[in-house]
Amino acid sequence: MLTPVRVADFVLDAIAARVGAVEPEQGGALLGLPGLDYVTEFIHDGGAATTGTRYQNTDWLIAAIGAREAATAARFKGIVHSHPRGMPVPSSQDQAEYAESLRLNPLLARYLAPIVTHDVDTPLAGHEVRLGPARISFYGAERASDGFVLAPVRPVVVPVARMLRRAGARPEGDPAAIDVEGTTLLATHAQLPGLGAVTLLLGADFPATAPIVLPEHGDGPLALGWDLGVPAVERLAGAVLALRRGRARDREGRDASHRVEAGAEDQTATETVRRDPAALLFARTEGILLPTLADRSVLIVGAGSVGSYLAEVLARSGVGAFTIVDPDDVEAVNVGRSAYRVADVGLGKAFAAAEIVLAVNPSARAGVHAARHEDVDLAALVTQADVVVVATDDPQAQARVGHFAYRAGRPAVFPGLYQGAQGGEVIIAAEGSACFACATGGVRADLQETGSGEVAARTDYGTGRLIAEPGLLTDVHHVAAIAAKAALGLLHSPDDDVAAARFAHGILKAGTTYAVFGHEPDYWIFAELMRATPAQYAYQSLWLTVSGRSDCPVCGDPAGRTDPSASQEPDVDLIRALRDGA
Amino acid sequence: MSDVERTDLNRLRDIIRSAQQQGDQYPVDPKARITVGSEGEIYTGVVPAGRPLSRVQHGTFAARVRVREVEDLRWAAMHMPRNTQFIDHRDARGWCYSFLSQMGRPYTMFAYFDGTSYQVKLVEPRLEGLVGAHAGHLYANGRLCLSQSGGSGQPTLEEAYSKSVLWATGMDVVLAGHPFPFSTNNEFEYGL
Ligand SMILES: [Zn+2]
Ligand SMILES: [Zn+2]
Repeated sequence: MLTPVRVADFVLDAIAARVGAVEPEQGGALLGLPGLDYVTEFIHDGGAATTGTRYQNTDWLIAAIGAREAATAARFKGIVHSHPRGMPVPSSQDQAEYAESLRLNPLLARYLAPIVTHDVDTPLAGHEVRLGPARISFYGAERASDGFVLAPVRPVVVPVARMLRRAGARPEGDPAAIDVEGTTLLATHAQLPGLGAVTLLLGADFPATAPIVLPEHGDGPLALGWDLGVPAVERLAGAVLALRRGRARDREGRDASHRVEAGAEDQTATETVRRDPAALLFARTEGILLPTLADRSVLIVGAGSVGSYLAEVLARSGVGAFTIVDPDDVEAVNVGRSAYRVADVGLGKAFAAAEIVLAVNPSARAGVHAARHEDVDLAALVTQADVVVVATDDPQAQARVGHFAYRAGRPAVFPGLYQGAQGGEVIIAAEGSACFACATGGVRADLQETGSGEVAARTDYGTGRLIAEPGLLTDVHHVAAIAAKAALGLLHSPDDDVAAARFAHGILKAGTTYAVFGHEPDYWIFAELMRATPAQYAYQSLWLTVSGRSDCPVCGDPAGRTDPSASQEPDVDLIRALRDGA
Repeated sequence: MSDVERTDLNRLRDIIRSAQQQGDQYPVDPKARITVGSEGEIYTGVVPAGRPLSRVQHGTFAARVRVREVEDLRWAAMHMPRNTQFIDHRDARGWCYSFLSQMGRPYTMFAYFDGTSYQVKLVEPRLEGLVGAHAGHLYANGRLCLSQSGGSGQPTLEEAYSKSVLWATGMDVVLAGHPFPFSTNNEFEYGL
């Protein structure tokens, strides 16, 4: 078990931006709360004379540390610096400097010495985190009887900046350490939506404990409800939203008599949005969607270009609850083709997608799982959802999530893009229709056998993931929009008298659950099939009938179906032990 | 071995590459096809008569799924190496088998049904985590990447077994310091 060290996320952001974004070597100082293993500040030693393999701190840095210590309650914690690729460990020269620092700083119990490298392709160990272009490997040096010991320590990232951002707060700079009656707190000024300018005071136990929120114009701290059952990143946002709703209800009570006199039509849109943000989402979809969507829940697995778009479209269409699963972080290259913005880079895709949902509809519920499909309870997640959207680029995940959804009787929609987004497909699987595996197996094999060639997106035979290819966002959205329409329809019941329900349930009734699309003129089979039809250009579709196989373990004869929960991946060491024991 | 061509690595590679380029997973022409014997031997061309053989899925795509453990047990007894042992454990249920690759290197594998398709894990040699997923088609948890779909698995035990034999020979090549020879996805590494 590694010693934990708490590090505020904005410190990691700063290290990634200053040290991680450039070639070695760069460095700077770490400061934090006195007496605790908690890093809350980074001072970049920008003027250091560095070479590709060497960082030596400047006298300026020493002076800057001294000035910070004099002006704030923060105390020196150590030095972070970068190393060339492939060397995520302190060198012997580094270790000599740690020993010297410990000798010079008798008050320092542990000298923290993270090493930043650009090794982002190899798996992370317990003492490492990845942020943007950088891997940060944490080490701590402590005094020992015979000098000092250096050991990896485990960074526990405190999501301060992410919680503030999630709550819509606009802080004026990073929080800084201040002393309040003998206790060191992190303090920052910020604008909180609906509450105005406040001072936020975060204790060392934040986010386990609530922050103190002092309005700049008002009497005393605001009482925040603090729900530890909510994921940390959503806790402040939830507390601020609950506080605002409580105030809105109070005001509504006071205004009730006035409103009755004035008539409901006097309410401005702004007031309606403030009281019930979801109410206006159905203003332009009468006859197409039902407001019951506000009570429906969708599970989105994969929040890339397709998944982030689906999250946004379904939120704008009034869907009330989302669960989003994606293990990856938003990268700069994602901005051009997803719903994410530059400000989201470095944030988990699942979190960033949930932020989009809540920005559209603050009364929506958004559950976030920054995890791979193997690491979440899929059986529970599909059961809680009314419709499952499988927007991942991992075929194993598609097949597995599809299996869980089919087993639980939840309709699932699988959008997919073909090479270069020149075409794509949307597959719908629900009880009575072919499962995803049967649909793809049958159709793709048949199309191949008929000499139509392989158009399905290429997967990397090694990683199993789809190869990220060039492709136009509008073409990605063309397929994703059809998946969104199908999902919206499936969130209704078959006899709901609205267009979306007729569309989606009509597909199931007709059995045409495999739609293929072409975006280019003369694309693929469309050129052959539609040759005789005048005025053919681009953007064709074909809705194919697919059938499940009777021996399919997912959708075949019920007696032969398998339970996806029952088949866990055997561990190779277990196999070795069983074989040796046999 | 009169009428039987025993493997030449370049020939194997050419057959696989041409099958993948033509999108033909199960070529009919014997000259365009690879077959695997019951002790891990690989044949090209006309195959020997009267021996248990397994057909190889040449593409990177799996089309069918079936689950018949009883049939599988019978099939395995006929078509898989004599040393094959069925492991029946709560957390690991499948077939453990060893064979010598075309370069004479011993490999031990474990084939199992994962609920929708057949997967294979490499038991020996211990290469998991050492050979990259792209370079070696081996995941960090020891699972082989045998296809582009079906979650990297194969639809039948036959295809999983035979493809694992082909994979082992590909891994021989990787261990000798060259790119994996049996996938068009590795093609750019040859500078072709
Ligand atoms: Zn160093
Ligand atoms: Zn099926």
